[in-house]
Amino acid sequence: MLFDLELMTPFWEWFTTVGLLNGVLLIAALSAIGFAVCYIVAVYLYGPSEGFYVIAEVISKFFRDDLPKTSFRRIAAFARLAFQEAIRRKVLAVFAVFVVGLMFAGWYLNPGADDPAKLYISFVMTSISYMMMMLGLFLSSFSLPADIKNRTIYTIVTKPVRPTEIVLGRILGFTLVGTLLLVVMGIVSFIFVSRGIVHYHEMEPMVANARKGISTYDARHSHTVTFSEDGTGVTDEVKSHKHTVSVREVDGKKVYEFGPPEGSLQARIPVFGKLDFTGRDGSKGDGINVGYEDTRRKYIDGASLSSAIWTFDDVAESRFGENLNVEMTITAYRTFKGDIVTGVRGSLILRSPDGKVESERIPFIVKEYQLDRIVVPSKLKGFRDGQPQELNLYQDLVQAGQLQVIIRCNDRSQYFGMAPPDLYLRAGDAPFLWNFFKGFLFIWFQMVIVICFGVMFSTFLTGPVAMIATVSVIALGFFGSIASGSLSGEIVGGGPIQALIRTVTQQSPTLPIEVGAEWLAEGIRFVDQGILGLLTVLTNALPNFPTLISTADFVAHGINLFEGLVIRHSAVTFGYLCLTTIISYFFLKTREFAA
Amino acid sequence: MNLSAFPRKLIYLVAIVLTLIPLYYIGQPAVYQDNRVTSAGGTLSQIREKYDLGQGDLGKLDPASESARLATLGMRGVAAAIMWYKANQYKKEHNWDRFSASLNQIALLQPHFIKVWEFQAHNLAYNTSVEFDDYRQRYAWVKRGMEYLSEGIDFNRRDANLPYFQGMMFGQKLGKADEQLQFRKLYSADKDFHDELEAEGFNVRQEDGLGADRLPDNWLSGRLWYKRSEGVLESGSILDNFRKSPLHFYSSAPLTLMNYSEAIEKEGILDERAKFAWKRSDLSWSNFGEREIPTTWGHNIRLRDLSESVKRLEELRKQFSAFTGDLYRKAYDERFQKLTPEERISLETPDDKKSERQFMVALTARQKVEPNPTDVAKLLPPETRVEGLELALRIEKETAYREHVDNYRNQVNYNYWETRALAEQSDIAIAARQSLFDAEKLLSDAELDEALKKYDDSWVQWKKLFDTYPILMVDESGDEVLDAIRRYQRALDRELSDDFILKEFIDLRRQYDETGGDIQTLLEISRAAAKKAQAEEAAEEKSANEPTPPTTTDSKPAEAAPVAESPESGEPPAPAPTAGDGN
Repeated sequence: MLFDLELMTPFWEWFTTVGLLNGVLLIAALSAIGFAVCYIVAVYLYGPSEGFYVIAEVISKFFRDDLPKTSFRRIAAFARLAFQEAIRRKVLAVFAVFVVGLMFAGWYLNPGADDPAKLYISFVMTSISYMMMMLGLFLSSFSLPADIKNRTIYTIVTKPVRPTEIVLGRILGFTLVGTLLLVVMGIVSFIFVSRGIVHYHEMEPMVANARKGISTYDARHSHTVTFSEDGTGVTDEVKSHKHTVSVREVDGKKVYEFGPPEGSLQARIPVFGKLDFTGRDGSKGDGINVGYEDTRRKYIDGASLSSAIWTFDDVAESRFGENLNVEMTITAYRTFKGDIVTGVRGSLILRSPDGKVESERIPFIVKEYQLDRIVVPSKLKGFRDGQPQELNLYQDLVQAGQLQVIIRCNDRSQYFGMAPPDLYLRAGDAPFLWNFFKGFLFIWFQMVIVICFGVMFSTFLTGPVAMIATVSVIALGFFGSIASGSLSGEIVGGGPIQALIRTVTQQSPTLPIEVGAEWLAEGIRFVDQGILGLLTVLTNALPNFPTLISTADFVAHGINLFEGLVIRHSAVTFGYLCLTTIISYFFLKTREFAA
Repeated sequence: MNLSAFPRKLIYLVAIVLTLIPLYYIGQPAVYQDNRVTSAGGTLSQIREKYDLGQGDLGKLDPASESARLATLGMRGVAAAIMWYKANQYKKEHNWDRFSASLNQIALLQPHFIKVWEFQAHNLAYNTSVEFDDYRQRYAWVKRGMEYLSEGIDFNRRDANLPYFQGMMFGQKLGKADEQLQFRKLYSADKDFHDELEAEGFNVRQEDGLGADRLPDNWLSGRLWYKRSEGVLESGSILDNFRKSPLHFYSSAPLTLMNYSEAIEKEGILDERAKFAWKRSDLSWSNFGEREIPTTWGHNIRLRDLSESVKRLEELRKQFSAFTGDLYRKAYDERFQKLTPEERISLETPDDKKSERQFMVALTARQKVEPNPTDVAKLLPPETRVEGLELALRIEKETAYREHVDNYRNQVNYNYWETRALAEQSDIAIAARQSLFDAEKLLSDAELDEALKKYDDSWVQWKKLFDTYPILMVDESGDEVLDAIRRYQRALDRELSDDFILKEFIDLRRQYDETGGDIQTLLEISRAAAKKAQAEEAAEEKSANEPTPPTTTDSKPAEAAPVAESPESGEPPAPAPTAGDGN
């Protein structure tokens, strides 16, 4: 699994370089557009100077009265109402749907998959995140319009309440309902996942006093069991788990007892490094492209000086323990079949950043699409300035907290492929349950953002239209990258008009469009560019839902969700909460004027 | 309440009821009582019945699939399209577990879309498997493709395409891949997979599916799938979408037996079991030759009818010639006179003296000058003309039939396989292969001197074999021997001497590889030898079986001996211990 390493950027680094800038830009742009539009409307209604005065009054009232004097007590009251309303609207049905879905999940999920835990976790998390999004959507977009339509809103606005309180109260109330559901769903899914992977084996008949045996074939796999001197056994790793086996004697017969699977539910703490390549002659290179469509992985040539070099920071014994765990998923690319039985061979070398000290080569055979673990002991053989020497990992190889890990391919004309996240140092494990909780926190963020947008749209649109607007926000959040991709030319075929013409006339997306006249084609391209540009700008202003959903992959792949990322997304969510609340305030305010 | 709304609502209600009436008639279900149809139902039901489109008629009914389709609320097409897009994306990203999971979901949405099963099973077994470096993982993905297809077969029991494709996967994918040796072993030992197949109602452990080591063999399991496909087709499959020509379709199962025989020999099983395997292939090929094959000309043929057809044609020609007397000659002469002088000279010049142009001219001139039987019959006096024309028509029909048979035989290389199966059963073939196998094993064990000695023995055997069955020089056996000669030469570390026993073979192969050669002649010689050997064997068996053998033996080569006594299936004779069994 290739994670986007940008997600691993520490919070402050992200906030100061990307987050803050984007936020400020967004607020500035929205303020400018909002002010301009309102001013035009006000000019039409009241004339140029009076209009300006009206708008200035509204804005100043917000900062002078409504914002500072917002009462949490009243927000809580509105939240309680929204909560009750949601319960009355039978939102709990969503939970029923979820439970039914889980009951029949076995029909759709293949228990014979290479890693069932991975499949189960991503199934529950993805389905819950979509469900919560739908829930947020329905709850938020119909509530206010219904109040306005039934005119119950007038009984509220005539009381001394502020629009901010109405909006925040609704958001809070719906969020509470969602949170409640999410907690229950989380507990149910945790039980589902942990029960789903539990299975036991028995021993196949084995030779007396043999040290190795084979387990029975259950849950579509079997293990090889190796017994130690004291009689306890441990299985090999199949489908990402192991079992421990204990032996008892009953009536003179050996009875083997398998423990539950271990290692399926993990939250490894990875420390990623920066990846550089060297070419065949050892000079700096970019890695080779072997022709795969997905170019994130670059390849190095076998039996040459071509190597992949990861540089890690902050490497210390206190962080990684006495032995260093290197975990990797290297892929192999063969230019000829060669030795079919043996995999492509490679070696791993640890090196100090100045290149003067390096370990002996640690050989390995590539394990594709599986996690390969190499445990590097703290005391190891190596070379200093080319002279053989006993080395200490943390004292000799690590310099100023930095360490380099080098991968080379040993077989001629065969290649190794890697991307930066394919090799990391494992700094222990976090509790799986905590990671699972963090995964659900991201679903929660997503739901809150949807509710915020839903409530915002419902302040000035009718229910169904508000829902469509919110769906558009979600859709743009999910698929907006297509617009920017088309704009930059990364995705061929042009914009919506061209796509429509191509679909109807069956023209290839890779060729320039033909519509009979070049000026017409040029015109279509021009309009398309405009639409795509607009969509791209909008997409950049909207929440990035795919990133939020992709966090389920971290949990599923047993990678600890980095705390910085959690803080980053809470900041983003808070940002959208503020933004939508302010926008809603102004819309509600204008509606009040109209009323 | 707005009163004007009431009549509007009434109109809506009436409209709804009106549209329901035709819907009721079209959608009315058929009624069954005591297994008899008492009412044929509405149009939809009748069409469904006529074309066997009912879910239950197609194959397995799966609640998961049904609910998946229901859950899309009529947006099945959209859902399937999104899943296809996602599957493609996962494949691009090499996210294999997700890829395979999305394929399962696609199948649930479109369980009766045959091409989906075929395409995606191929995707798993061929495209995904090769992305893995470990051959065991590659096997696991090939297997996943097969399991996927198995499920498709279960969903579409009346489709003959899928089991046929499955036969190809079991046979060709496992048996012809670069990793064939490893794949075949893994498959034979894959008890769990055999169990799984058996649970799905496909027993690969039946006698016909067991290989030389009494374990399921991939080729033989593949053959069982082909047989299943044949069964489906014969029991009235949905023929509309069957894309294979009957000739190639029916040739697959017997060819699989040939492949099996080749494979076990390559793995060092060179005893009675190999002979038996070839015998079985031979019989199966003959049975295929006896099968009625529909042709594109609209009539059926039998591939083994060729010699009969030639005989019939000769007989008819004789009759015709007797009937028409010298009319043929007359017609010929008449036409000859009408030729240009150049054409006449070209025809009369003997072949070895013809110039290139004369060859071309003679070719067209011959077509002009040779009268066809109908033309000759037309010259008959009116009282015998009708009878003559009938005879001529029969000749023309028989000629066309013979040509069609010949044409179809060429398409499946019938002569070659027929001869090969016979040749491979001979003792010299087994001996040649055994000695070469032993030599190669010694070489790989680094027993150089012993290996060279064994190679020398082997070349003598191969020379004998090539002399008897020259066709083997230009097929895979020839390739194998050429490769072995190269290894032998490397081990010798010098050029081959001019009196190297297989020099003639090497020269012929060089010439054949460069310019092509007269395969037909090689084939003819080989066939004659094979038939002779077979006849001798049959005669020997006969004399051995008779309590009082006749004093004189009939040395005349007999007609092709019937092969029916050799079993097409069943347990092979008790295997003799093999020297250097490489299995």
